[in-house]
Amino acid sequence: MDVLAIAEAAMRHSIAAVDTVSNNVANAGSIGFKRELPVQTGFASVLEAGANRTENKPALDLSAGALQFTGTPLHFAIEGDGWFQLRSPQGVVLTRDGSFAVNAEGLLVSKQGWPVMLDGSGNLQGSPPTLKGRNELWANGERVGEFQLVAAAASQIEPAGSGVFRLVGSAASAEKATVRQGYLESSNVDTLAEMVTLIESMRHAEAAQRAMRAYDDAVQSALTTLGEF
Amino acid sequence: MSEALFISATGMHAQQTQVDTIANNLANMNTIGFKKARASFEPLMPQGMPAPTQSAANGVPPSYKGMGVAVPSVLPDFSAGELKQTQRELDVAINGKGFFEVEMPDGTRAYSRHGALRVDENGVLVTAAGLPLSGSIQLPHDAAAIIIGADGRIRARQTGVDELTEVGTIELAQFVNEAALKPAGDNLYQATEASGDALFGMPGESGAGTLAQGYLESSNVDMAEELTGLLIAQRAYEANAKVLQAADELLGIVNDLRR
Repeated sequence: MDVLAIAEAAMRHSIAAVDTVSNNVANAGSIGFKRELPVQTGFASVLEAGANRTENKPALDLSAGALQFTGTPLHFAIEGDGWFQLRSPQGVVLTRDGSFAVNAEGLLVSKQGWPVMLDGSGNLQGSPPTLKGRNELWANGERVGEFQLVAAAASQIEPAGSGVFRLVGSAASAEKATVRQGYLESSNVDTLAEMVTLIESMRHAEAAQRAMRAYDDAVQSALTTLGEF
Repeated sequence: MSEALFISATGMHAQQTQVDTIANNLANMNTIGFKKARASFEPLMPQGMPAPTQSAANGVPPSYKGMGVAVPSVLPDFSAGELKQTQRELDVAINGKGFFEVEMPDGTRAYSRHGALRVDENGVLVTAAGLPLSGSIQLPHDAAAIIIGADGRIRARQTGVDELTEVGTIELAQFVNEAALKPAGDNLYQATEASGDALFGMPGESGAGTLAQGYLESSNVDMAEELTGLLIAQRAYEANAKVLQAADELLGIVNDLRR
């Protein structure tokens, strides 16, 4: 394989990694945001694909973010593996962002205004809801419904913007997840890790640049030497 | 490539909005009835919500790229402020949920929790800013004392009369989704489609708070919370700036390929 093409691929990888890092750092304050990991393609697949290989795709890191206390009765966070389901105009989507509101019809809605899926259709008008048990919502002395939580692994979801994800295929209901009221889940972005990746990528790009230059020098001196004959 | 540059810029912009919001909260720490605001962040995608991809259905990880962060809304937080005793007869605080409804000069209605009331030149009960409470409550000119009950009834003791005369009532407005009220400046809020129309009720009934005469509601700004937020916003801004710098250096490395 062409040395220049290999060095070019290495630089492209560094650039993709910096793009991913910049998106993570920009979203460090987004509630329920899940950081992306720059993915390195294995050497063998690079060798096979040669210079025509596809771009590196980031993978999702679904580890939990820290819970932050807000004390607002309409803020919810999930402890454990689980997702809130929202009824968006484009179908059901998942989110870990539990900063909800009550709309004019008395339904619990996400900040996009999409209804949160509960197994009842109780009205939340009037008084703030209270959480009973694992994930049961009560308001005005009546049971409103249970949060319909689903468990989904990183391979089962794809980001759909605005902090929501679309389910690919089907997912089981989350039996072990617990909802907490008055808390929000911070993003799981670790600035230290991002800065380390950043430095790594910069040096990686620099090394690739040196390799390219060294190759360029070698070709040049070869041509000069050959020309002297 | 320059994506990282723009993405970091959205991050810096978001933190700037956060600092602006915090600055406004802190500036209004001593404003009666002020409600702090919160900026909420959400991740940006290239074209809103992409259609389900074919590759995703086949079990191949979908291709997508985050495009930074957006601040779609800065929402007021209507948690209660502390009630502060003033002993002034026309200072009324709402202990619990609800808003006073006032009539704007253009005839529309606005809502406020600022209960420092006064009487204007016509004897009508108005807010500190001079806007009449809706229902224009007329107080007698010769009133020696005004008594505002927890239930909203206003009674006056007129000079030379032993009995109290009832002069009106203050109703409270409530909203299903008060977080969607639109700040209209001057401690006033306006109803929006998302908040729903105002639901009126007597203080103390159907979830509305009671009135407390001789008290005012302080702002609900918590200095420690705001300063913590400020430190976080500053560091986050710095982190975004560093990434921006790194992206720039990376472009420099690429340009330096050719000496």
